[in-house]
Amino acid sequence: MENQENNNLSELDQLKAQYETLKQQFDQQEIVNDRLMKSSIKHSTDFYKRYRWLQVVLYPLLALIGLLAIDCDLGGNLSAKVFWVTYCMICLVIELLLTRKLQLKTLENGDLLTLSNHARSFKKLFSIFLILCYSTIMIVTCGWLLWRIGNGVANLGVALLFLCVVMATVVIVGIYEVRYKTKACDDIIRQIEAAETPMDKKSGFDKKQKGFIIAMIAVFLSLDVWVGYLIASNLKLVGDTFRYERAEGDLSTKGSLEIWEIYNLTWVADKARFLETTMVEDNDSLVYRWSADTTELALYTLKKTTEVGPAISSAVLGGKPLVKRLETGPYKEGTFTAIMLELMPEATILFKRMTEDALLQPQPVNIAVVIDGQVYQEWRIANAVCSAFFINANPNWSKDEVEAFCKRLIKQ
Amino acid sequence: MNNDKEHQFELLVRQHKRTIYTVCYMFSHDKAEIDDLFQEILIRLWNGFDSYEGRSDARTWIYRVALNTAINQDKKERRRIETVPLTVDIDPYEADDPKTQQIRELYDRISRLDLIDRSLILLWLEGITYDEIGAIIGITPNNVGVRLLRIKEKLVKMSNNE
Repeated sequence: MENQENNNLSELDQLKAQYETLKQQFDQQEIVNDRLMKSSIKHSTDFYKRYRWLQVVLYPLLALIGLLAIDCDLGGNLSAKVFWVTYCMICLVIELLLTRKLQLKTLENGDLLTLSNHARSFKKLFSIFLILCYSTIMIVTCGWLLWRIGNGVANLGVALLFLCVVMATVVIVGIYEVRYKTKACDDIIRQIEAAETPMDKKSGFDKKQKGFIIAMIAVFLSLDVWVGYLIASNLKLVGDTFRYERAEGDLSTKGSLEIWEIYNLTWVADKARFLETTMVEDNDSLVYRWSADTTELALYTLKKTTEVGPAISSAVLGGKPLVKRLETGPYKEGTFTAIMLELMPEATILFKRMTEDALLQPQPVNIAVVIDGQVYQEWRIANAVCSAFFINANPNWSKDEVEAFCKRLIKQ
Repeated sequence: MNNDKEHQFELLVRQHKRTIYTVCYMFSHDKAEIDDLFQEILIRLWNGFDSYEGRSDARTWIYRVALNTAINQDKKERRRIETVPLTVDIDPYEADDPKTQQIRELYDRISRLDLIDRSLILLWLEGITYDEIGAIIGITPNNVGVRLLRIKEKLVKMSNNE
């Protein structure tokens, strides 16, 4: 026993003697030179600054890509744009707040175990953030795909395949983010954990961290509710959209409906001038329609008839109805309210025949809806999809007038 | 004003150069690694120099930053910073003179300990009080005593096994 204690003492004495030698040896060295000092002072970089540029570039880039996608695929839906920009901003702010946890202050003023506890909590908080952030992305993707399927733009197979690709991307990016951004934490935790006692190790979150988590969940839940509402309103489940559908087997009509193609804007002149008719083909009928704006005096030629009669009309179909289904939104073009019009199968054939040449033209096709001989409005086919196309309601119409027009149209 | 701050910082670093170098030596494997780590620690010290402002003992603060940086070392990241070689005449890993051999023996013993134990024994050898060691590591002074006892036993056991 005594021998053992003596051994211990001599071992420690030896250690201290060696340390004294080390001190003497190192004290004699110059070690620090001017170049080293200058170089160190020049580098005022902090611990997590290397991630900052990525955050500052990545999120605005993501926001920009999203805005372009919304412009291309959702007709520039303003609500979707506001949502996307808000989402990107919130993610950026949360990520900046999280990375601050392991900043320089901890390295300078924190003790070793505080640093490891900070690293541990950063890792957990970052994982929670990623789950919340990517859940919202998945909801957005699903909603967008549902919208596309609902509007006949994509079929179920393609949508499911796309969903799988997005899910795989999210998982891969998520794993990469966790591994890349928490790698430094892993190193700290792994190296310090070996020497930690259970008392040193803080499990769970403190009050401040719990508050942060609750706030983070609340923010992302609000975002999820918001995007859910946007999706539901785009799918016509909620909101100020009108949706009318002709009942199965209902072939009743009231009055006449004709759809004319405006194939040429002939000229603009005063009423006394002869009509320019060189562009009018055989069997075409001319309909004069003076603009409501008396200073404009625009005259349009409408291609009303084909070899078999009017281009599209209930008369050609033997009094059968033309419109199967219609609904307003979600597209908006300026102050116009878009109305999506789906024709009955027989009317669709006529419509395609009327527009197949015109749709190949670089300029948009113009049509006119004529109810009981009255030209209601000039319309532009915004986007012809399968048996449906979009028309723009009169910008001066109120919401009630648009609804009344839709109700009248569905009866034709 | 800024030159004054740089001057004060330089004085502080020159005064505690040995402390920093010792930490670098105990947490590195070769001279190049010491150079890298030394520079990384200097950068951290300079970045935190404003917040330090003499609020705590300079030696304690320098040990805290140096040990935190050594434990948190990211070799891949450090290589991105242009390293300036230190002005040192000896190679504590290679030289054969008796004094350097003694230093190397010390290194061999301490480097076999894990990182926290390595930090603890260094602070103890430096003659820092248990209270200060506790503040740097983040444990109670009593715990420091218990841990040091275990480390000493470990060192003796290592020595007996050789």
